[in-house]
Amino acid sequence: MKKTIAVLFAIASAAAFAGMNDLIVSFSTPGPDKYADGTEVKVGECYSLVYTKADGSQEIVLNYQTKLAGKCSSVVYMVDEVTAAKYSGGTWGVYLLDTRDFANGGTPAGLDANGQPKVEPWVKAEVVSSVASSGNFGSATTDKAVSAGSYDLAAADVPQPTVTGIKIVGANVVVTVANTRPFVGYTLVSGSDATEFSAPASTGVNGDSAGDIELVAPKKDGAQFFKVSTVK
Amino acid sequence: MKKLLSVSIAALAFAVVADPDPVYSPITVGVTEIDTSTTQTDYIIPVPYQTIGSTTSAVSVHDLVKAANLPTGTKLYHYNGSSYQVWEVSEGTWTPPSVVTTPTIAGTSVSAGSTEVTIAVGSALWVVFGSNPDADQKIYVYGSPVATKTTTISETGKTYLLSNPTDSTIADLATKLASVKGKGDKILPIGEAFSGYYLYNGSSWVKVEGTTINTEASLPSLDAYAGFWYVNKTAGTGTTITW
Repeated sequence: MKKTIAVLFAIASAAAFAGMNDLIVSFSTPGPDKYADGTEVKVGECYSLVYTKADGSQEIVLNYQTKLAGKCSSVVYMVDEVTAAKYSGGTWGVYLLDTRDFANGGTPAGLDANGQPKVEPWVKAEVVSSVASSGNFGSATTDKAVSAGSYDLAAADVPQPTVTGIKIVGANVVVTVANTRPFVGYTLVSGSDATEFSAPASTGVNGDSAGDIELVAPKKDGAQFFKVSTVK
Repeated sequence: MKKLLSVSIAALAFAVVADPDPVYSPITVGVTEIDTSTTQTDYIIPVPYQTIGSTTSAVSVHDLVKAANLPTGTKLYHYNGSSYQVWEVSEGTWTPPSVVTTPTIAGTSVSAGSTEVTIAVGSALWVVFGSNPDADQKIYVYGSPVATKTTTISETGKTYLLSNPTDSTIADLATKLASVKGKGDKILPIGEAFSGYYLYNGSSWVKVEGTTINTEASLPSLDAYAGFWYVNKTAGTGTTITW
């Protein structure tokens, strides 16, 4: 199965107005927005407004919790004139985060008092292209094409999961795994010896950066060997 | 009037990734199921695994054999070459018994296991049920598999409780023991239907039963995970058994 991730890019349009040089940025998404696992974004999920400088470096300008299911509700954000000056020559993008807390029924953990996602790390995909410029408010363009960032596990800094335990519970083998990420699925792959692993032995379970997850596979006779794999 | 920068989302794009390579755990874990019999209370338990994530080719006794699925009162013995330590299942965990009801086994002292004990791969443990186990009773051993299983036999005059830590029958046990054997060394297979032992007489293994010495007998094959006693009377040319 292909892994998908929603990365939202926007085109900045700037309109020149007389008066103060404050910058007002508004954004939203038409939806339906989905997580990398294909499920629809929940109310309370976070989006980030990201400014990408000409040298490629990025700054999260604002994190926002949507009030709507499946999309980012409309946001209007004002940057004062002094601060706005640094947002020149770059581009703007909007990222969908995945802060679901699977220890809490998958409810988005949301933002802390400082406006930062409570669940770290969140998905940060590579910016492929973005064409907007906010440097020249007088020559704005609007509604340009939207690009999507490619997503791969390595780029997203998904670490190797750590197996911390194994036990038999009833007719099942339960493997405890640490060092997982909430936006990634994990499964057991098994083999009859310790060197060859093939078919998934368990159904996929989302990671949980706040604690261990348990993967369950049916117990078979004799010896069984397991590794933990991210779900492709 | 303020300047307005409108970041309008023209569309929502999903990046389709060409099957990114999965990320695997560096650690492999294994579980081996040991069958029991409804007519037998004593079982030698192999040590085929090391502690999860470890590279020391050894494992905690308690980590290797989980007590959770064993009946209360089941005992676990570890022989260190001169005496036994024992734990028993209480409330699903291995617990040092407050009173050791069997203070000696064949003249060897038994004491309550007071500390966590680490045991080398290729060693063996001894599980004793309080009564014949139920038909569906299993014993499980857990851990991380070891790429090359070796056992060190280094102390002369010491008796080792060993096991075949592999899941294959060892047909040629003599070759496995080629470097560690010394004159006077003995092997006592566990479960074999004779009361004697095998003796290395300096040139070959012979079978001794009572006053009968069978020089034609060869060492028996060793089933997967089967245990045996090895009396290291004298040093061989080496100290390592590579399984």
